[in-house]
Amino acid sequence: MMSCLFCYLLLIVILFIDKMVDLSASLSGVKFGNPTVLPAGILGVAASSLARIASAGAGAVTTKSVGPERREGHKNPVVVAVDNGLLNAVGLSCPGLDESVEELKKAVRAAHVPVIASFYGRTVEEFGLVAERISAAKPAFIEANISCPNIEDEYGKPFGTSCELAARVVAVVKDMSRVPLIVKLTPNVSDIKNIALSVEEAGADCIAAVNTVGPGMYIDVLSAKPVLSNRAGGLSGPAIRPIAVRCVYDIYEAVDIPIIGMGGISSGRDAAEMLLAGASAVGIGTAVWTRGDGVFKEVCAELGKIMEERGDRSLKDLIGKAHC
Amino acid sequence: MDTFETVKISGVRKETPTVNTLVLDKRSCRMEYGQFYMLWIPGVGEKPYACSGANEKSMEITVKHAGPFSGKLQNLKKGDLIGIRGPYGKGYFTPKGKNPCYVAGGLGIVPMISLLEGTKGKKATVILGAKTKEEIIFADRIKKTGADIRIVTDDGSAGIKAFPHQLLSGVIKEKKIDSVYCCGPEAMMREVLKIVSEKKIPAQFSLERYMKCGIGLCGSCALDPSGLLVCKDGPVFDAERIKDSEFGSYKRDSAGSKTRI
Ligand SMILES: Cc1cc2nc3c(=O)[nH]c(=O)nc-3n(C[C@H](O)[C@H](O)[C@H](O)COP(=O)(O)O)c2cc1C
Ligand code: FES
Repeated sequence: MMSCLFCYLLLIVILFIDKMVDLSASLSGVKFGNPTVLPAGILGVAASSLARIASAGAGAVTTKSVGPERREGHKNPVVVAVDNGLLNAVGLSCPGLDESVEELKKAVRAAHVPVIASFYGRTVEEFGLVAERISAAKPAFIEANISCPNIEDEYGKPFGTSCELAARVVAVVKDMSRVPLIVKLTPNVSDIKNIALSVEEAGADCIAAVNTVGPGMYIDVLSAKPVLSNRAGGLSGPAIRPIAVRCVYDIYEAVDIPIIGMGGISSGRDAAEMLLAGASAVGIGTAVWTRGDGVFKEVCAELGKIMEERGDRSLKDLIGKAHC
Repeated sequence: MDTFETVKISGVRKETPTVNTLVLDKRSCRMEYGQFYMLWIPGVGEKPYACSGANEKSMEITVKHAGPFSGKLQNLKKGDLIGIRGPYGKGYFTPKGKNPCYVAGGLGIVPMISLLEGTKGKKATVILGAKTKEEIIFADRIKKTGADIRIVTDDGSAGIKAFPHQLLSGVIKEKKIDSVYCCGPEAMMREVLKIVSEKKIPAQFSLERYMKCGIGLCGSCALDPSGLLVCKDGPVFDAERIKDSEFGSYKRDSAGSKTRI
């Protein structure tokens, strides 16, 4: 009688597990509880914000990009809403390297999920220097932002638009740090495959794509003035999703290293689309504004339902499956 | 998703030698007490401001000349254009208690005046602080609501020579205060927070942090250690939510660097 009951319970448990989909992700040996990632520059100034988003359900969180010295960034206005998206030109504000490293240490302690430390430099050498410093705080990854479109005046064209420069940044950073390296790419190039291939060959462990599109501009008609103080700003949000999906699709064809796909993802359907294109995890940035910080849990729940419907057991059944 | 619009200034009122009220030609939208707007001077810059009054045809912003941006904002004239987005913030003043006390320092009365005027039936007391007699604002509007007003100045040129929080304990006892609303310099608010925590009186505070986006994305207005965002979760917070926080000790500047209060 007892053993019969036991068998029955076991059967229920097995059936239940069988129905559940596994949302855990693994990138370069680092485990994420789920594939949603808070991308760079979204709420990543304070460690306390990163801890909050981790508790809200993100699988990993990324800091605001850290640079070699104090920068105030662009003057307000730094954001303006447009149809189906947002233009931003925050301009890589940063409190300076010492304070950033302290804040990063706090984030690694406070967030119970992998912390990705985003960073930038004005020269190839500075990328190496900053990478070395932030690596001491022991983040799960460091992420080289070679793709910010908003500081061209001061920093020249992003390193991410040249295969050679991108590869040199990667080589120098890999020399200075043993922490797994993500390279964040810009979609604003004619052939993203070649850039991806260059950074893979130079030793990158992972690719994040895409940074914002454009830059774009929004002009106020009554005053006849561009609203952003920087005049132009990078476009994010649903408006760029088709571009982001195509970029990730192209990158997946070119390289073997894992991709964190982002750009306009705001639902489980969008996440599934990005995974199918070839991403192993998905960044959710602008949707934090439109859906609040509950968006990470919600996207996971929606994604789980879609996977159930499709009969997927784990993310492996989705990743890259749009390629034949 | 968001409402950005450019409107005309339909009038300017002088409140004090350093404070003006701008009347904006904007049909008032639904707004909660204490919410804020981002104001853009075309080609100059953008900053958060509370609304100091609104009706069907217009809304008002009260500005003190404190720096280059507010100086320019103050100098705008009838007919000039101003960009506006908002209202922002999910934390606002909520009418509580029968005998509320308002503690305002400097321009701190601005985000609270609509609450006071919108809840006239209560037996309110307002402790209104200013540096000098000339800088007192809204005293007439406060009196019109029937509230008991206690004026304090830093130099004693009007009312009592004191800081607003120094009167609070006495007023709480005398007027059986059962709720407190507070806005002003953070050092003063910190003292008010101590008093209401000790006396266990429900209280709300309107906070200020450096804001860039105003929509909960950039993270520059985050409070340690909770990660609460002043632009989105505030700008008004219940005392319990900010009690054990950076409030009163430090804040972040435009680069994200911590500076002491
Ligand atoms: C306000 C804002 C600030 C950003 N700051 C950074 C940054 O500092 N570094 C970076 O690599 N990307 C930055 N980004 C780009 C995002 O990380 C992301 O790549 C992009 O917004 C696309 O994703 P989304 O459409 O989900 O927002 C920023 C985006 C926004 C909207
Ligand atoms: S001002 Fe950007 S998050 Fe609050």
